[in-house]
Amino acid sequence: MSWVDRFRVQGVFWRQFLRWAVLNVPLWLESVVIATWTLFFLLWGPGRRGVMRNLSAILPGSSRVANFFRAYRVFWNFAWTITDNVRFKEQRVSPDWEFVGMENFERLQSHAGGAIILTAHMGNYDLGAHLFSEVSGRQIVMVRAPETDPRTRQYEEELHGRTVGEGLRVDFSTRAHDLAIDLLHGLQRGELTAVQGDRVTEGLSSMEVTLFGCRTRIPSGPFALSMTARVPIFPLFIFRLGRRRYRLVACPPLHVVRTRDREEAFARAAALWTENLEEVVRNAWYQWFTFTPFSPELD
Amino acid sequence: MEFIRGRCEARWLPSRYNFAIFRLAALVRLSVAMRRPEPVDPRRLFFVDRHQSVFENYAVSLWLTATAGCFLASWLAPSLGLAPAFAVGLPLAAILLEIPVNLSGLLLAPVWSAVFRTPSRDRHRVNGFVLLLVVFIAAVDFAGKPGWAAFAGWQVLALFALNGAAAVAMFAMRGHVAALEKSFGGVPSAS
Repeated sequence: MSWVDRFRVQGVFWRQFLRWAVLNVPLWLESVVIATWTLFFLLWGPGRRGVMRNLSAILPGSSRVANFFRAYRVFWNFAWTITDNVRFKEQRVSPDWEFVGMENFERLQSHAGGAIILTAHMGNYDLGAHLFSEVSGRQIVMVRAPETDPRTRQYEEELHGRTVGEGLRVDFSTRAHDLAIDLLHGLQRGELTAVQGDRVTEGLSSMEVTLFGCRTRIPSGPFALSMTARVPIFPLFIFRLGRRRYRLVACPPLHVVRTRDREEAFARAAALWTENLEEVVRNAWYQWFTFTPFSPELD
Repeated sequence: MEFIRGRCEARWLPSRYNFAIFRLAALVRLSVAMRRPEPVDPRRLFFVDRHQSVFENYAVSLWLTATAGCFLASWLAPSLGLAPAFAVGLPLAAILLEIPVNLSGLLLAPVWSAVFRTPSRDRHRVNGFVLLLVVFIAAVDFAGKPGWAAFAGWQVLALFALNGAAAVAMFAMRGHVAALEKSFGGVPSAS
């Protein structure tokens, strides 16, 4: 890797720069600073085009010009969420929260055994996981895809190690087989596992679904785990309502019932999950942080 | 971390605001709200941090940018004309405001942290002081010059004076404010 790579969009420089900004920029100036730097990152062509193509599917009939401005809104929300995330890790500053589907959230908290929290790349899933582990006092394992850049990966792992509390453990989805075994054992021990179910990491098992009329793939791991460990899946979404205000939406649990036809059981559960996901993303497209086309049909 | 669950009046707690003007306004607003409290909503969690207010954050950001934009526009106007000077000055101000922050963050704040043994997470206070000092000095300079930009300078000085007066008022009422904040309880989280 050359020294130039650290300045690519996924390079480690921007993570270090964000941390530096969080520690040094006066908080009463952050809105203007974030607005300015969001404009700068809109120059990132592949990301901007990816968002615009996704928007053309989420909002059929939308114009390219309008989607360009919508892309700015997506980038703006993303900038705020990653800033809030770093600020929480470095300064233990949290936003205000509001809960929707409180009965489902309480059901999740009081659920005696293990459970899977299925979420999407929306709002601030990192902060939501921290909040949940703080409020509930339960151990959560958060599965995430590792960073593509090795220096960024190392930086993020060091940051997690230094700043994450005991109630939250992060595990990376590239460990495929070993991870599945570990998660299964964890669920059987009564742990909660948080997984993002709207994007597939290369090398992991996936299944085809239809999202906004386009073919796409989602991870099949959560459904397989739910069936094997006989634990419910709780769809959970986190939305940014504004500066330091988030909404946590807990949906009714899904159960992947073990039948003779494994594929049919998966397909049914995935259809329910996709229905939830479509409704949520259609209403809050400005919070879906998917910077590549979600379907090959959009490429 | 400390959070308050359910009591929606908590959003007006003075400790959720940074500048004295806003803390005083919040105190007044809280006093009014407590006469007719809203029903408790267990679905809401309010965190107590002095930079929690959305209104204050955006108001100060926009005010600073507009003020710096006016100063820049008055400097550019003789060569560009007034309207183009504003068109250039306002967005340029948003970028140039970062310069004193970056310089202070690179040069002054690390030295301050080392000398006074303050944690690195408090560097933004040092840099914020430096930025406000730069704005204050610019305001004094513009306020003394003839022309429309003097108004931009005078309003900065007036706001600084008003904030100072509000700080004195808040200091005088610190016992009452502390008792009021304490009445909200606040539940520490696991961390």
